This record gives sequence, C-alpha cells and structure tokens, in this order.
Amino acid sequence: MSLTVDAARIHELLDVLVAAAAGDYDVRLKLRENDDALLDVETGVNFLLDELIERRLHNEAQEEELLTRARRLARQRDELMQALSTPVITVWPGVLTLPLVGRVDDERAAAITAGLLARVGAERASHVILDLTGVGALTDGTMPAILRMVRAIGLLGATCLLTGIRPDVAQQLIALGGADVHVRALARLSDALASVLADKGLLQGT
Amino acid sequence: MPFRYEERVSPKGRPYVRLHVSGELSLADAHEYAGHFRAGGRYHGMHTLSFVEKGTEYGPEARKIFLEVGQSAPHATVTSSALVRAAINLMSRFSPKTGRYRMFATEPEALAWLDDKEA
Repeated sequence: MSLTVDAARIHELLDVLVAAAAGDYDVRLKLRENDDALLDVETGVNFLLDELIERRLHNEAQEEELLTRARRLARQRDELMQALSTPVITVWPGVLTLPLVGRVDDERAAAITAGLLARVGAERASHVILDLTGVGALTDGTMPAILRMVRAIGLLGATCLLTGIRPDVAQQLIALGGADVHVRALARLSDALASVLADKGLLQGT
Repeated sequence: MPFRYEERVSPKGRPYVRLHVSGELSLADAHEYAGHFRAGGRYHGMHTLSFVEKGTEYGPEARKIFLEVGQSAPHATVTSSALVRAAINLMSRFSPKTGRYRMFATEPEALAWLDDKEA
C-alpha cells in the first residue's frame, strides 16, 4: 500500500508526538476529512492522548488518596505517640508517676511537660515521681528538658522525685547543674513511692 | 439528542432499528445507548442500521461504553464522513471480530447486507 500525504500533516503529527513525549497531553491533531490511512493513525494518536490524560487524572486521584491516607495515619501515629509518651499514672491520690521511655527530645519533652503539668493541676498533686529507668539515647536536649520539667512541677507546688537514674545520666545531671535543683533521687520507683507515703504519714514503720 | 431511534421492517420483512446519530456523544449518551442495546434493553438482539452524521464525535468516556456494549446482532453503519469512519475503525480494533459489524457508504448496500445477515 502506498500513501501520498501532505508533508504538513506529517510535521503536525511529529509536533504532537514530541509535545506528548514531553508530557503535554493536551495537544491534539487537527483532523480533517482526509479519506486515507493516515487519518486512522491521526485519530489513533488523538485517542491515545485522551487515554493518557484519563490515566494521568486517575493516577493523580490515587496519589491524592494515598497522601490523604498517609496524613491520616501520621496523625493517628502522632496521637498514639502522644498518648504513649505521657503515661501519667496516679499511684496514690495526689501522687503521680511518669515513667519516661525512649528518647526525649525538646519537642517530646514539651509535650510531656504540658500533659504532666495539666495533670498536676487537675489532680492537685503533691508529688510527682519521674522514673528515668527506660530513658534511652540521651540527646543534648534531654537532660535540660527534664530539669525544666522538674522546675515547672516545683512552681506548681508539687515535689518532684527522680528514680532510675543511671550513672551516665547522673554525670550529665551534675554537668548541667542539676545538683542545684532541689530534687530527691532514689534508686527505684518503689523506693520513691515508699518515701512519699512515709512523708504523708501513710507508711507505718518508716 | 444525539440518538434518534425508529423501528422499521426491511425489504425482506426483518424488523430492525434505524438509528440516527449526530453531535458530540457524551458518557450519558453512551449509557443511554447501552441501556437500549444491552441484554434486557429494548433493542437487544435486533438488527441495527445506523446513520452517523458528519461532525459526530465520540468522547473518550463514551467510547469505552460503546466498546463494552458490543454487538448482540448485526449492525451496519452508514456514514459519509472519513473522520467518523476513522473513529469507528479504531474503536472496532478494540472489539473482538464477530463479523456482525460493518460500515457502508450508502444505505441500500448497508440494508442489503443487514437483510442477509442472520442474528
């Protein structure tokens, strides 16, 4: 089969193909009533571009859906992290315990402090026991953040006790001037609770 | 309306649908067509003779519906437009060849072919 066509049609076809290859799917060939085989090809190119636009829209919609889902999951994860990172437990009326677990950076420390202070106020707590047994990697900001927490608790009129301090953490505390902060330190959480209950005159034999 | 339907009887006494098509065919138009020609539709299984006017355009979404519907009975299309012919040719390439569909340039030859085709 031989076909004689106007060179302008071939140029237009190539221009459209180049534009499409560059990502522009909005281009279209201007179709005319040319009763030849090239018209089938031209029509096919336009149909293909229609299909590419449709697929792109579909992909964009899917991408948007995935992003929305990812954002929702991130929000849920943050909420869960928030809940897990501030497990403030009332171990006795007026006595709160916060076992710190994992890495405590400035952002997390701020969230923990806010939650803890709210509980201190709401429960009119007299004592707060911060248990550092589970504190993992200490970033530069960890100890200052904990010391700020201790000072803030003191400003609300509650007494803060620290437990589970490891030797390396103790050294950091001293280096940061933690020794100047009036805070009682005990080895174990149970020791701190016993001490608090003794202060309250609730523990006989102490 | 892009579609106009008429029920007629061929010279050999076979009932058929004469369908006049024009304008831009949208998704809604394609669904309307599909409703008539799919199983359970009024014209399902009937011979069809369609006249597609010059300037008729098949929208991208509409094309997919037409492809899904397929041919439940012989269907002859008459058109004088090379553009329409190219569009239908292309759509036909996506459908399985059943020998139930053909395009013609004139009504008499289309009707003769249709009249000879068994459902």
